[in-house]
Amino acid sequence: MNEIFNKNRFFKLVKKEFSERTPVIIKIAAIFSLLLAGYWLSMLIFNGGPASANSRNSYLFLATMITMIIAPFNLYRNYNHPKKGIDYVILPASVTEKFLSMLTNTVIFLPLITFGSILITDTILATISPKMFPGYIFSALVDYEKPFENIFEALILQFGCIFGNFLFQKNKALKTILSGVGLYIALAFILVIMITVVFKDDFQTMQNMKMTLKVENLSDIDKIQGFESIGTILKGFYYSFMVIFYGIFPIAFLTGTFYKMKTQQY
Amino acid sequence: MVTIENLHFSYSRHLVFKDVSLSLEAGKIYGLLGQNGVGKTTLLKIICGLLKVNSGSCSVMNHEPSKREPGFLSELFYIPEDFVGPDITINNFAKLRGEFYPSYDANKFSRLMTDFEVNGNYKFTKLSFGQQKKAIIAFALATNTRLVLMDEPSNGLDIPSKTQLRRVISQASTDETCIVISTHQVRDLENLIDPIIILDKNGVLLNESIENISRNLCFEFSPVPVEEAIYSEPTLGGYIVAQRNTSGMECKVNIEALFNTVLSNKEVIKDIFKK
Repeated sequence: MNEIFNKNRFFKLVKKEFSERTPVIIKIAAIFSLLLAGYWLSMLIFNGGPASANSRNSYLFLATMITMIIAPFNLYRNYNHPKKGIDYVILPASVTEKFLSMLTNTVIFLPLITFGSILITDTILATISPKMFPGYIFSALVDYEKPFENIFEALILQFGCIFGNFLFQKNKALKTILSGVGLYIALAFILVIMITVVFKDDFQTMQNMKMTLKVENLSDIDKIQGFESIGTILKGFYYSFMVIFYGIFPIAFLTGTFYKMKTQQY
Repeated sequence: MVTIENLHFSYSRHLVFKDVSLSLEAGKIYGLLGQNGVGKTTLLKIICGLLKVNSGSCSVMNHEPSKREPGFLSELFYIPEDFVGPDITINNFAKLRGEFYPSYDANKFSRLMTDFEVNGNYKFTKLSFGQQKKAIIAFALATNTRLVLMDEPSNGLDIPSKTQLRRVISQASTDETCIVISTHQVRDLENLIDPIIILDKNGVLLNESIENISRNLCFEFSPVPVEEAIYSEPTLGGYIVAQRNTSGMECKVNIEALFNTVLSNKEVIKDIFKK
């Protein structure tokens, strides 16, 4: 018996996890779909203006993102519970399989089902009353700017929530949000210290100067005379932030979650 | 089956086990007794890998439990004292989980559920605590795992169910299986558990078979206190006394009296059973 990963056991586990969580998944998907239907109904009753495909598209992504964030707290809140978590821990599957199965349900199944459910609801409503819901949401999806970047950012947030869900035993959502705020404040504090203390002289040269700089053109800053050193610092900040947010955070959240699953004591 | 050597375990500053050594063999139904807080549940959790030992070793079927390897977990089932079932039907629960146990017997599960008079089409959340407990016991025994750990299995069961429990546990016991039952309700499981393990703060006071206990100790009813008794406790119309068995004849063991005898005469008991 492969003790780390076995394909058959993993699929059995995914099936089991999904079957057990189907009522919760359907409930969440239904709530967000009904919210859209409720909005449509209220517009119909109170003669409201039409809702554009773009605005509904924004709702679709917002709802999916909210679903991703609440997924771990709803689907796996009991994993580290001293009593309710035992049933899952003694299940004959490896931690790797349990970890991947948990990710499959929280990262793929629940958000995808919510996404699909809203999309279908919107398509039905847009077909019934094109005046209220002009255009189809899926046509707006094609024009949606940077969908992958937004999804990846939502994923990082979700990984943070998954980690918080395994890190805290009580008031998980609240403690995760507070930790996120704390982390944000800590990073902002470090940035302020860097600007006001460490690189004080460099940034003083920027004062009284008026300029606009786009992130995409950040590398051009070196070309401005007298800005060679500060350009390097700004780029350093920017790329450090990118590495921390897009690289270190997700890896740390996932590694931390796996470690907690492996070492959790009951 | 289970070998524990020089086990040390503590919850932060609270020491539970200090240098405990213990061995459990296949083919037996162990009764794990002890006062509240001595570590019965902790010991079961260490054996099934829910807790990691601080030092010493715990080996179960040649596995290190705290690694929680699937091969190990598929040979073990732990029934916690207050089992909380998920929000699905019992039959679905058994079907989905049974696939993970190589020796799971669905027919045995149905039979046990019928014996316990629990309807498998109900959700766990719709059942009483006792019925949930019967359902999980039925599932545990249907998995046919080599090691079954039960924490207070008779808690919450009605009188007929306790009788059923005794019957199904004795039927489930084979030469290859080891069942460990932690309980305070010794009368519920009398004539079933053998050997008896009595835990005390920081250690094992007794780990002996009923046969060996009855060869060394005698539990009798006496209308008056007996001076030579190791232990005596008042009961209706007289006293239950525990004495050294000097006749060489086996006496019936009163587990409740044995427990009290051991707790109040630790050194004497150690001396009697020293090997």
